[in-house]
Order: sequence, then structure tokens, then C-alpha cells
Amino acid sequence: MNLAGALEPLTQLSGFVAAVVFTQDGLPVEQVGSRFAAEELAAELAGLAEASRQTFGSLTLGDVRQFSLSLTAHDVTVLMLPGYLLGLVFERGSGSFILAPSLERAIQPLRGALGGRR
Amino acid sequence: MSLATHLQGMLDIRGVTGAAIVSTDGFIVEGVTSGDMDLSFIGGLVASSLASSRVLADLLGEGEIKQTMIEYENGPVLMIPLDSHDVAGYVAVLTLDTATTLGRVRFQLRKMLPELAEELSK
Repeated sequence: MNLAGALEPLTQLSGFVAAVVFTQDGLPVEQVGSRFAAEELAAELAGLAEASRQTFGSLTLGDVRQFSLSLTAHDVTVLMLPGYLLGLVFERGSGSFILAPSLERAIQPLRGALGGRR
Repeated sequence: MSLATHLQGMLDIRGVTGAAIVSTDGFIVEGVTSGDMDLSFIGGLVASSLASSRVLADLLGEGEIKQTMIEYENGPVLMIPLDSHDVAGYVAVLTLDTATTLGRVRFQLRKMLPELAEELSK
């Protein structure tokens, strides 16, 4: 399955707006949903991920699994996948701070396409 | 009631391991922890993550960051800007033991954050 196909289940989720897979240095690989400026979105999400990674040594909190951001009208979540990051944009109140089972299921094809579960 | 007392009240919520007030430029105003956790990392985390979050908010055509959560392997860090409580420039930061306690913590904070903001504005 290609990456676009693997992202397709996410588009069926309630409140889904956009999803973008990007490299750890912020380069977009694939995107589905609303056409936000994918390059800028990926770069900023990668910057946010890097900011959270930088705290590892200070508090032994372990690896970053995800981070979530609630805005006025949108919820943004970034998940760490094998070698890549997945940025998700939902309408406010639809995206969960904790992965809902439906979201976890919808991500499985992508995890498979990227090379297994982390 | 002092800031430290308010933060201690947050620390008493089951699942909370640390609570702090941090300025948006990363200065820790006050902080309490349940153990020997070092909260000094939080200043940098708040400053850098809020800066990126603001750019994201602009990108999505929005003005206000309601809250940010970073989930680490050993528990999440929750950051709540106090702008919506009429105290600009400060963020409440909580460290939790697991993400499963997040709902309870957020419920309790709905009552506690306005009181904290009021104290901060004095």
C-alpha cells in the first residue's frame, strides 16, 4: 500500500481536516485532506518535536510519543512513527489528547507502510 | 493564598507530579514537585514549544493557543497559557505520571486555573 492509501482511513474520522507525513527534519512526504501549506506545517511541527526532544536529558522523561495542541478552532496532534512524524489536524473537540481507539485503528495501515509499530 | 499554595493544590490532584508557573519567555516564576524532579527544563520547553505553536496557529489562521500537551514515555507535560484567564504572558505547566489521568486533571483545573490567574494578577 502506498502512503496516500495508508492515510486514507484517517480521512474518514469525525472532524478530520488534514494529515501530513513528514521527515524528522520537517520535509513533507505525503498529505491528505485540506490543503494547508504542507511545507510550512511540516517544518513547524518538526520544530515543535525537536523542542520536546531537547528536554530528554534534563528529566529522563523518555522518548516523545506525541504532542497535541488545542487552538481556537482546531486540534493538532503530532505522532512519532518509525523514522517519520505524522501531523493531524482535526476540528476543535474532535482530535483527542489521548489516542482514541478509532484513531489508533486508522493509523495502523500507515504504521505498516512505514515499517512496523513503534 | 500564595502562588505556591495554589500550585500545591494542583500537585494534590492524583496523577500530578509537578506544577509550575512559567513566563512565556521561559522564566520559572514558581514551581512545586512531588519528588526530587528537576523542573528547570520546563522554562526552555515552554519558550520553544509556544513559539512553534504560535507559528502553527498563524498558519492555521487562528489567534489563541488553548493548551499544549507533550506526551513522553514516562508521562505527559501539559502547558496551558493563562491568556484566556486575563493574565497574559504566563503559562501553567503540569507534569503527570500517565496520560490516563489527563481527563481528571483537566476537570480539576477548570476550577483551579481561574483562582491561580487571579492570584497571579495581584
